[in-house]
Amino acid sequence: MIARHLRLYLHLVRFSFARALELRLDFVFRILMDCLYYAVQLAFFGLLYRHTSLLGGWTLDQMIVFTATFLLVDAVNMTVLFSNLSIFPAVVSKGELDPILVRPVSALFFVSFRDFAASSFVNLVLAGGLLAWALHRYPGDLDPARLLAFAVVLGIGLVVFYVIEVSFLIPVFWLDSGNASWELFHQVAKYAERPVQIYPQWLRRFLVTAFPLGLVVSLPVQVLFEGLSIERALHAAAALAGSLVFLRWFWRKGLRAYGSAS
Amino acid sequence: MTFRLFVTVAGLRARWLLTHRGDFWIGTVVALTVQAGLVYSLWSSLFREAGATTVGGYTLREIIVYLLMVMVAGRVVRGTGRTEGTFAADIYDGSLVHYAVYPTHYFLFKYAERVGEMLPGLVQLALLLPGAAALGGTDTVAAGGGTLLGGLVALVLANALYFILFGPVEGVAFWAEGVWSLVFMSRYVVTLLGGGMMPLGLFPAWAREALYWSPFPYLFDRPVNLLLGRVPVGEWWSGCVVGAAWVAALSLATHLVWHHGGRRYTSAGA
Repeated sequence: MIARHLRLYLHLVRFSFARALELRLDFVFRILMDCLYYAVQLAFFGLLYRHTSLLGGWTLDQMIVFTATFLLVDAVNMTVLFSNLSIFPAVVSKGELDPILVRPVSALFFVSFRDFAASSFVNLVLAGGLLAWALHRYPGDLDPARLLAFAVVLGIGLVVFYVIEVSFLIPVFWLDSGNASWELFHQVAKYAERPVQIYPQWLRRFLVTAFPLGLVVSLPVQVLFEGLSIERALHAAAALAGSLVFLRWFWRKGLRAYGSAS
Repeated sequence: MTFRLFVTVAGLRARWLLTHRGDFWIGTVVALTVQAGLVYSLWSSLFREAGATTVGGYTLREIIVYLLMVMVAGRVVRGTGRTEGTFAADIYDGSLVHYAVYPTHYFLFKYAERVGEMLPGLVQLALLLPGAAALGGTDTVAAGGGTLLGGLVALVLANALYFILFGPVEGVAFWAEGVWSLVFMSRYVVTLLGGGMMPLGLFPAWAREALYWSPFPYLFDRPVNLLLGRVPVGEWWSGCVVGAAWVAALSLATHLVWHHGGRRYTSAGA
């Protein structure tokens, strides 16, 4: 079953590249756009650190690693998820979910991953390069074990981010339009763009437990700088398991409320 | 375009935006609440760790008020409807040809709509401004009737400047198959250099000097600081002159791009 989904995904990626390269100028513009976005994000923190040596207990070098990690998460989102999830409300409201539901693959997999934004893939590579540069210039000690732990916890953070993003869209099964919840997601997702330790204690607790946005970027970077403790490992594992269980339940609940157009 | 037609178009647009009043106010309140949490957390952390009472000439209270005001004033500057990308959309979907038979110039019509989009934002600003000015005004320049009027004039100028800034950018749609990336690039640059992410007082001195001659400070930083009573009247005048000069220059650039682009434009149906 996993192999079948993987084969399907590789075909979808190939089709997406073929489609994206038909519009070459737009392809180039999108790359330039994301490069500028990265520059603006780094410039923002560069300007802040003109006035302080620490922010959230982190130096500028650490903040550059954090920002590069966040930009990588954003690049993955833009490449793999955004173009699919942004049209999900329209897919549901127009009844276009019907043909997807009868296919012999997971409907959630199909609606989440069918389009691969090929033009953003180059930016994904750039974001990865930016993170590699940030890690290379970091003056602290980063041994291979920590880098591996960072990669694993970041992978978990990406899954948690995906679950949160889809969870904000599932209410479209009950509402007339998913635009309000989609807009709300984009507002609250900004809390993942800052280190979780800058927030007040009560908000920090909320962002690492009930609404685990703080686990998407902050936890992997903390693991990178401070190491993977048993507590952090269990926290990440619990967040992953809890998120997937919640998503499975919420998605099925939404599908039961879906009124087919057929 | 007659003045009466201009007012009618602006009024229709404002009424259309306020049709869904619940969405309009709930969206603003939610966005403001989320942004307030982010702004307070980030800047109080910075002030605490810097051990400073002022940063770039702002206290913590003043920076928070500034950034929340930028958010609300931004809805006046950008408009509260679908703002960037409308020119390009008209080119791509062929509706640009409709304006060939309208008794008005395309950009004047669009500007009338943008003025209408500004009005709901002004209502929100009017509700928030008294409290914000009381919290954010400095001791050197008190926020009063004069600075309030100056700030409103600066906001109207900023609205016109933001409107025409995208004219040349979106005119690229006559040649390219997609320009939304260019629009977003412009928006990133405008937001950072216009003081949308932090007051320009936190930029290095050389950057502030260079930006003075650009159109960007007159979009967010200057109008909001005027409304908060932080800018003397003398600076207001010189800023208005620079901002107005940029509106004229960008209007010329827009005219040139659209004149050349319009020559190669074809559309099916009307």
